[in-house]
Amino acid sequence: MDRRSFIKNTSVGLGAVGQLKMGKMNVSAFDSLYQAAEENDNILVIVQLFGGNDGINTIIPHEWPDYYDRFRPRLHIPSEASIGFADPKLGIAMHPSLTNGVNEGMLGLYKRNKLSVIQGVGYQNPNLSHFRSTDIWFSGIVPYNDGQSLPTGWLGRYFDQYQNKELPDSPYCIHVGESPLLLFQGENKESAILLEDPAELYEQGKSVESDKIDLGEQSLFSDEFDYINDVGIRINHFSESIKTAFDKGKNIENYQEDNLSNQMKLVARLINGGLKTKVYSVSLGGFDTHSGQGALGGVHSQLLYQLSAAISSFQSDIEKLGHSKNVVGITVSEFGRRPYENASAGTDHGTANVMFAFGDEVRPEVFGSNVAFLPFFDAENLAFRYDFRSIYQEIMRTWFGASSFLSEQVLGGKFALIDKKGFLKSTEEDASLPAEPVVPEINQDPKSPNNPYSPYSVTEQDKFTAFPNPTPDGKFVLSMILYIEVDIQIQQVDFKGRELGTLMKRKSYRPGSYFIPMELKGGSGLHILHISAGHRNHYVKVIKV
Amino acid sequence: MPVASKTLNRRSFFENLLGSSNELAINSLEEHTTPLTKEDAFHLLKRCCFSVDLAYAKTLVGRKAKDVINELITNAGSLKVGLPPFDVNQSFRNPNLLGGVDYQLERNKNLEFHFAQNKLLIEWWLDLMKADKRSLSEKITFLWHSHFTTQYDGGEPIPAQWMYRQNILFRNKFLGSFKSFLESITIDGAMLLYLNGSENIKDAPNENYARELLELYSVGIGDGHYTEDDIREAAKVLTGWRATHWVEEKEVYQPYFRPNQYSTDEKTVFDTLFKVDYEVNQQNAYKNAIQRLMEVILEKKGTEVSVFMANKFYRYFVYSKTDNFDHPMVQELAKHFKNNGYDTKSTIVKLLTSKHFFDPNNRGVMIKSPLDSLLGFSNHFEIDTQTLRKALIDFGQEPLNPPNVSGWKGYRQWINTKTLPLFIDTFTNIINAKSDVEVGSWAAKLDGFNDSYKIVEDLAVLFFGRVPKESRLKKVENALLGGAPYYEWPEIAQNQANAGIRVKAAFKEMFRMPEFYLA
Repeated sequence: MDRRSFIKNTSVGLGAVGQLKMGKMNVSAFDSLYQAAEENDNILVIVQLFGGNDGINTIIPHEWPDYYDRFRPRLHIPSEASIGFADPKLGIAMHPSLTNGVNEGMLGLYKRNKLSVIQGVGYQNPNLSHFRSTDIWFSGIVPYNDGQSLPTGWLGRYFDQYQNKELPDSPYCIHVGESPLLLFQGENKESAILLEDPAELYEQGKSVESDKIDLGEQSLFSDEFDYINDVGIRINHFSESIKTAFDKGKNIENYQEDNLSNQMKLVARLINGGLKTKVYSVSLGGFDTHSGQGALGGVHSQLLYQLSAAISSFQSDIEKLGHSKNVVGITVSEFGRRPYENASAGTDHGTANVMFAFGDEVRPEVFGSNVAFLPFFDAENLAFRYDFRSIYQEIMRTWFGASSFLSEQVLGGKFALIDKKGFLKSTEEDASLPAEPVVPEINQDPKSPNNPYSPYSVTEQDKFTAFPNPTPDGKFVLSMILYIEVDIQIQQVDFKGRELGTLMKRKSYRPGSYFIPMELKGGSGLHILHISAGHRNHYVKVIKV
Repeated sequence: MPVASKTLNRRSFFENLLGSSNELAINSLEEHTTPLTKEDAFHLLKRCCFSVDLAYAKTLVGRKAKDVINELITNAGSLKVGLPPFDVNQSFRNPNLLGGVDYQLERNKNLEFHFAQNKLLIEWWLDLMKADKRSLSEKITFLWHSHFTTQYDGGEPIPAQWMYRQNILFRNKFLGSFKSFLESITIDGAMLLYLNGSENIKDAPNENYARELLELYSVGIGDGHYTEDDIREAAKVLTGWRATHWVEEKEVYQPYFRPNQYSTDEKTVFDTLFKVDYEVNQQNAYKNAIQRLMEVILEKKGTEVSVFMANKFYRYFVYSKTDNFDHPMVQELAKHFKNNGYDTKSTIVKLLTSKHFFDPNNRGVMIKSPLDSLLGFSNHFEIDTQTLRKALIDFGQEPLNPPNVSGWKGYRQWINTKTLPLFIDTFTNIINAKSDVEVGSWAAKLDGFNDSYKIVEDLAVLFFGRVPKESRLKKVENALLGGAPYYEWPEIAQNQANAGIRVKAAFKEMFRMPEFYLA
């Protein structure tokens, strides 16, 4: 790493210098980029959980009856199996898979004060598309509409500050994986090298053209030529330092034999080998558990089993190797999953989610208590408590020692610290930051249209329409548009509330539109269809003439 | 978003001094009338065909660009498009009508069909791309596919039967009027499924398609281009259409209109009132809703549409750098597009026969997409179609499966620290798998085969964006000679196996060179 450029460009360091000072300095923002700072060798490890991790079955609201009865009748983790870990008053427990790994896995990390649990991380107007929401998390930008393009990643923009510098010895970022991530895309250059196997990369590094070729012209052709030439040079250049670090480094701790563990083992070894890379990203896929998610011992449990093993081995390894003061990790997933399970024994794309941070330097706490206390912001998705950009900002400012000016440039704004204090031990309070997001209150009024649980509520987005209406012969078609998987039962009552019978027995329907031919019982007049859709009730008037 | 300091590097300093580099190419859409040289012919064919036919390229020398383009268009009609190897009329049982275990079984069965058949369909298309060496057929078909994106494997998999029909639609419309393109794609079955048009009904208008229609397919995103209200109202205009492949329903594989799901409300899109003062049936709805909406889009937002599309055409055929709506050539092409009733044919012809297109400064400036790279190479050293499809997955450009609705980003995304060594590795494996004799006899057909420098020049013409300076070409020649003096080449070349070994070595040098990834 070109340390001088870090010092030059990231202004204030850690601890005593602190961030508050920035607000008081009376110099122009641009000058603040050139403050001297302590040297900072801090490293960030990002663990991507692709597909949308089911936060509710990760940190379980195990004392919440709705979790068992309403939301997860089939997919809950049994209360007796889940592991209480925090203040019992919070009513939360860990998935038993999180005890897997050395020293009791992630549970052990919590016990040894090396794990933050941040509940309810998300953003305004959540997008439920994998691509879009992944792009949002990677870009660090919450777009004002679906069309806004998100061409760069927050770490790409962060490392753009060095774009005109000579290549440092170590790449700024390494993504252990095969496809480039938007996360590292800068305005012009990518800050990350894709790495799967250092030996292979080293061989590949030899296969590419490694010399800078000066075409001696300035043209569109030379623009594109130089770009490709640069990619080759970067592979060649970094493949050597990566190989050197790999050969020099070692692992002490044992790792589980699986993909994520292998990735994190590689990261620990490169850190130990003296690579100065600031950010490593590793990933585990398969969290898109729309069907067959399973309860205890199911697919999701197995994923957490791998996660816990990998993170706990990694943490123990870097402790034994002597680097743990300089390394923190976070887990990131594009969204959580919906509280309601679906009829395919899975869960659908949701919103606010749990995020973990681990390392010697994180505050070993549960932030955001219990997701059970989060209201729904629509009929089925959780509201969020913390903006994910708060975490990015804290990483840049506290962990990398960047100026608040730079972090604001990268994120396009300022964000509250998690619970005003942040998840890193060395973060200091900053009164100049904006307020935390407002979590809407749960509406308990049974007659309020804003209470999604109200039996009177007709604010659900599911739509039921009968046609023709009026019907001459009692025959009609009921159109149903369902947005979530739900059990439907339809009973007919007359306008005086007398039950005339069941038109449709309870049956599970998937999201979609349906046209169901029906026939009214009884004579002419006003009839009311009482439609129970899960816990909700809808009433449709049908007139027989 | 501006980040950190913006000091000028040496290049931007000179750019400012000399003016932007784009201005080096002549900015004129006037017809390039000089007879085509060999270089012109290769430039043209590299941009118009995935596979360049060497013999054909030679026959184009001395002809006029306009005649050649017209020929490439005419030839498209005679490309033989057979049926893909599965039942394109196969319908499926609707698992939603079944309960419990049966639901899952039936659904899994359907999914197996959809995945297997779409793979076959992709390979069917790749075979067509391989075969098409003398027409614009596949480049244009792929242009429409990458514009009107539909992803078979995004969310709920789309049956190959629908994807096939959409592909045929692109072929039938080919270079027709853009308006009729918009009309047809709106009620195309794959599109109705992909962007939820099938679920867009009066009681619950689904805005997905309406949004993409404006944002990605016609007007484009931009200040004042359209409002959320325009989207909402356009969605209502488009209500009522449905596509089904369920055996239990009628009108299978025939998108149709459901009058009772059509919103008869008054709607306003781009300040134009849509009134339902006609009998609600399929014919009237097509005319008064679909056709009328496209008319209004082009009437009210014609300038935006034409600039948006001209930029697309420009990026596809001339220079793929990110959007540049202000480029004088994009602006001029847009005017032509608009003034000619949004006729895609005359617009594409205008572009491909222009002085700007043939300007030497616009040659070799395109970063090849994986399709361009792999098909271009397969044209000489066959890559079997299954391997080709799998390689395209690795490189992120599997046809019928763009990453999302906004399509492939293209340009520099194609070359990164993963793909560049992967390309080198892939091409090395392909050439290594060919016998020395095969490579040697292939090379023997090159004009310059008997001269070590001329043969590498020939290779550069075929595979490089530009024939490099002598000093760079010498590198390839040195690899070819492998230490032997140049005057011994004719003797080495006598033996086809020996020649093959040497030409392979030359190729491996070429795979490393940036020129190889440009066209």
